[in-house]
Amino acid sequence: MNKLLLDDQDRKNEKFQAINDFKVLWPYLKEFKFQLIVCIVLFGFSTVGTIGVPYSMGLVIDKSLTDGSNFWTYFLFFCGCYLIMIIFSFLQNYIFLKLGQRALYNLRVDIQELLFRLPLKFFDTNSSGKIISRSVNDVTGLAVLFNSKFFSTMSEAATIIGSLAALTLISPLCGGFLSIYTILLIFFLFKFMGEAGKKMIGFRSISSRINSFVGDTVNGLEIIFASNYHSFWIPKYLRFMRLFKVSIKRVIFAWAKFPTVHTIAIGLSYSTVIFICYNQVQSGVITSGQFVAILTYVSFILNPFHQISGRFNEFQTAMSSMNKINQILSLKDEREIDVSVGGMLLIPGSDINFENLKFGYDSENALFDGFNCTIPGEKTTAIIGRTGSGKTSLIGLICKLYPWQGGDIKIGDFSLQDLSKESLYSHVGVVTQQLFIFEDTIRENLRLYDESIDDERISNVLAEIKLDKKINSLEKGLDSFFDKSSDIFSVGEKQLIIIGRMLLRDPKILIFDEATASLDNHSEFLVQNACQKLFRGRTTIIIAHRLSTIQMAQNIVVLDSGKIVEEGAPDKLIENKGAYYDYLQFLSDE
Amino acid sequence: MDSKTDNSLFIPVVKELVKPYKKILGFGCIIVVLINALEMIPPLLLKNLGDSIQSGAYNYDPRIYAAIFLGIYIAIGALKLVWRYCFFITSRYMEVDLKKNLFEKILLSRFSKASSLKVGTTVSLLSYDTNDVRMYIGIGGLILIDTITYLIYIPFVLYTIIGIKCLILLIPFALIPFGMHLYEKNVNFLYEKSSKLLGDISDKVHEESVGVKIFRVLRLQGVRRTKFRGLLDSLYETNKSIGVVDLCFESFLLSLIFMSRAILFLCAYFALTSNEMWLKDFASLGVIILVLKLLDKLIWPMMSFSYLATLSEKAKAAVRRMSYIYELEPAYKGEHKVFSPIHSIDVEDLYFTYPNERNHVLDGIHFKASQGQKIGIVGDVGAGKSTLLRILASLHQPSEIDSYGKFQINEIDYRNINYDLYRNITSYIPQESIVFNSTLSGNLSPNGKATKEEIHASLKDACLDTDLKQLPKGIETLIGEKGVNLSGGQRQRVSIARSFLSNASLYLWDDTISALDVETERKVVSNIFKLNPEAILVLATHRPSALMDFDNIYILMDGKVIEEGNFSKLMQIKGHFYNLFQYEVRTREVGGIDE
Repeated sequence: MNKLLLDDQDRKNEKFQAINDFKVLWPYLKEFKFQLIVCIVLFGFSTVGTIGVPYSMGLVIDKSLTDGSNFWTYFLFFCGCYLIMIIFSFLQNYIFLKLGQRALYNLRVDIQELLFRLPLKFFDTNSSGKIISRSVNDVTGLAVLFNSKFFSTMSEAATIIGSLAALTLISPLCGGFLSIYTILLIFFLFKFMGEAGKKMIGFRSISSRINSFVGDTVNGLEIIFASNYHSFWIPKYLRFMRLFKVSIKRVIFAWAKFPTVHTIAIGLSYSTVIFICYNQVQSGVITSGQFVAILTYVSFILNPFHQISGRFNEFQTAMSSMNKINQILSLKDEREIDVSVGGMLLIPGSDINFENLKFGYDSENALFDGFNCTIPGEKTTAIIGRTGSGKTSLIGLICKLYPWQGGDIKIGDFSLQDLSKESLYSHVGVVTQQLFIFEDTIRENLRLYDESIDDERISNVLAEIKLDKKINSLEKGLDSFFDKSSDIFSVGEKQLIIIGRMLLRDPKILIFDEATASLDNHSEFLVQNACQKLFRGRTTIIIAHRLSTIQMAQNIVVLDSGKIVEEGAPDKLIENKGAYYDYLQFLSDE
Repeated sequence: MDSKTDNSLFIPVVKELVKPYKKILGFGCIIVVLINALEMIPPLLLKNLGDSIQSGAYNYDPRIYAAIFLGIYIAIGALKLVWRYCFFITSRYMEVDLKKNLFEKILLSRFSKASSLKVGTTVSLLSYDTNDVRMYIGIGGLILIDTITYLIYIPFVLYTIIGIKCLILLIPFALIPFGMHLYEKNVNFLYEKSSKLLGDISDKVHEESVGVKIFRVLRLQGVRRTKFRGLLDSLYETNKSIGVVDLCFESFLLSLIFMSRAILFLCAYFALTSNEMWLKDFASLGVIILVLKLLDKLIWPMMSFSYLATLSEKAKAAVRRMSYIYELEPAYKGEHKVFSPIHSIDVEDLYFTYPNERNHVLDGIHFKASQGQKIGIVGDVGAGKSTLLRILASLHQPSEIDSYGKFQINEIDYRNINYDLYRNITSYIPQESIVFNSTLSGNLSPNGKATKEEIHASLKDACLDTDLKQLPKGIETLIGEKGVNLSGGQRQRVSIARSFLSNASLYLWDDTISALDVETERKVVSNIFKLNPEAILVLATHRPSALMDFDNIYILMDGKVIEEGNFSKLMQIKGHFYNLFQYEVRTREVGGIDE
């Protein structure tokens, strides 16, 4: 089982999963212990203020309706309660907001650092979409637990409980009934909103299926039009629309249940209060001001359910996000830690030796087993082989991107195992098949953020690869910004930029995985020329797709399923009439 | 007209959508008016109770009042269910109507216009934008009625009970629309910024997962870390600001309620202690209860104005984005039926120019093909190969072609053929292989009509049978973005297998074999004729070597046929084709490039 594979399943069936998940997040909050304590103290104050509001209102009303004595004292008490509620809840929310956002920030930073350190296998096994949804979207889904909504919900819960207590003090009977209604309401809240949440998940999955279908449609428009798929493509969309309708109806009906129950609960509460209190006021058990206070407490108890139900879904999402984030954070143990610290002084002409190497992506299937090979220093070696022959893996191994299971790789006298990546990479340059141009200026794309490279060196290199005219013709020259949508460069020019990048970097060891994109004759010529300049005087390993590139090599390695079929100088191999010869023969036959 | 401010389409679109649902929406409005009227009764009843308490009369039976209360709230609860149905479900129906409408417009339009749609924008058009229109009609309409009725009812009730003095109590609420306006202005901007930052962060993560090898070996992580942190920092700042703005607004609302209550109590006190007669009404328990209950209900309607404005802005922007689709013209279809199989194509003097371009892409081209023939088209990028194939695939309307001397398919003029029928018997593979987000079998037979045996046979014919073994669930494996990632060569062979399943008599393949090795390429081509010896294959390619046994080859350059003939003839001429072939041999790929 691949530990690095992110799956989509909620592991909800485990008991206390939410608590376990929260344990992982707790360190992020723990850091702000002091602020949290302040928050809780402030929270206590604001809750007391909130509960005091209806009570003080009752007193003020009694005074202003009877004799007016001490009115100002009570009025100030009322104002005090209100201001305490407003000011302290503001402060408490403000502190929690800052703290929560900080904690989320720290979480995001940790995940980003994790991405920098996870083994390559993680990126091989998970699609980028999945990684994005885990490391970006799920953290966002968590936000509700870390922003003011969390404390608002807490303070609403505290208000409900406090109001119930205060209500019980004034009129125990009313308090009793309202407590029962509240418990029932909470029960219905979880039942109905939970149901709605499930329906919502169904709706979302249908929506995403529809979006993916629409994406397919636009993507495949050429085929759909040319093959006349209309006759079933439109009905397919209409079927999706029917599903959409059915599922959204379910969501709406599920959503509708709770507000109706809530409304009825409000009616029930008021009628209970009237039924009990009207006669109590008459008999003088409670004052008329207290009657108003009771009515206000009732709305304090019942109104928050409106907001809570509105947030219910967000909390559900947060719970499932928490679970998913837990999954990615638990990969911490899989981080690659480079223990080797050795440095390397690369002696010119050092060979790269594979000695009895054993390697496989998983433990069962070894790709290389007892692999021996020598890549001569300061020469160009072309590796030839079909899919799965192991040429890409070989490159990954030289770069120490994958751990191997046995044997060794040596550069000169240095074993790669002892070499730190930092030291190794200061000598190695890589060009991959994807033409990676960053969203930045052309200057940074060329010098790769190495500020020691000045514009003069850059323009020298540009002249060398014949890209100077093109760059100079751009309005902003080297400062021109390259972004995804712009198409200032053709495929050939992109290849030239990448070659220029390597010329500037000037690595001792160059790994060059040739891009497969087809080029027109002129750009092909320019790229070949630039390549020749780049390969000269370096230990170069190329994975070549074109004969003209192969012909630049002084050494050929023909690989097949992890074994060397043939190796040596091209002339010698042609004489041998082996696999390499067959390739060439095969071509010239045509 | 400037498309950024042109809202001329907005009202017609909304009208069109509302039309079928007028009755149910009207009914919903009546329900809202009724609910809000019912909501006025409980405060009035409480006022009566308060009055009777204050006067000491106690002349009401609490049991009856309690029953009336319960009854009213049950009625409100039930009616709320009805209005939810009227507005929420109906508005979703409208959304579906709108989506259907847009989708059909796209598919039934001319290819040349529809093909400029982008995936991302179209998906968001058919999800977010249609939702914005739905929100405007459904939620916006509901809020409007709700607001209007409350704003009439509450002041009216207050006025009838305490007269014009009620305005004193309403003063604080007048601040709400201003506060709300300020709030929305700030918060909308911040929300946009925040979601843009999230998008940027996602892009960075995507880059990371695609380019991880380069970043690590070239030691770019320091730079990437700084950029990443920069984004995270601004996200933190933005989200914090959103929180602060939210918090301030919340406190602002609480303060307003506090102020209105304080005013009420002061009025009541002064009514008792001073001799101001006009304040007299406030010295009543009933009035105090009534005012407390009613003022609470005023907050939301006062807030909704600004929200309504936001909804309508969003919907207008959404409709503006839809205008491109609304302007798509329906495709033209010829009358005359082409009967399978296609046995001849004859083109002479064909001229074609893309809109907004000056030069002819096809500059007087001729082309001939008949039953059982393999025709090759060779040329550099921009020579017109793809355009010719697209025209042969009937993707360009006759009216879009500049002119032609002769263009006949089975001796029928191009203008007259029925394109639906014609397309049913042609199989075109575009240059970029298309893989749908579906299972392998769903990809090969999108209409789901092919049997398992047929699918397996087509996989074998397209040389995909060995690749099949690597798929965990065989032909039911999900492929595409969300499933197994296919290499370029595999994607091409999926297209080829799909093409084999179409039972066409005309195969138009645009550079379909570029990622295949020579053996596979040969096999695949010969399999077409094993399936149907009478078929016609038109293959555009960069590789002259693929065309050795082809019946005829056209060499295109700048939209003209510069050489023509079979392989050996063209080699004898020693012209452009010969040079291309020599060049190919020199630079030819070794082995497959499926990596």
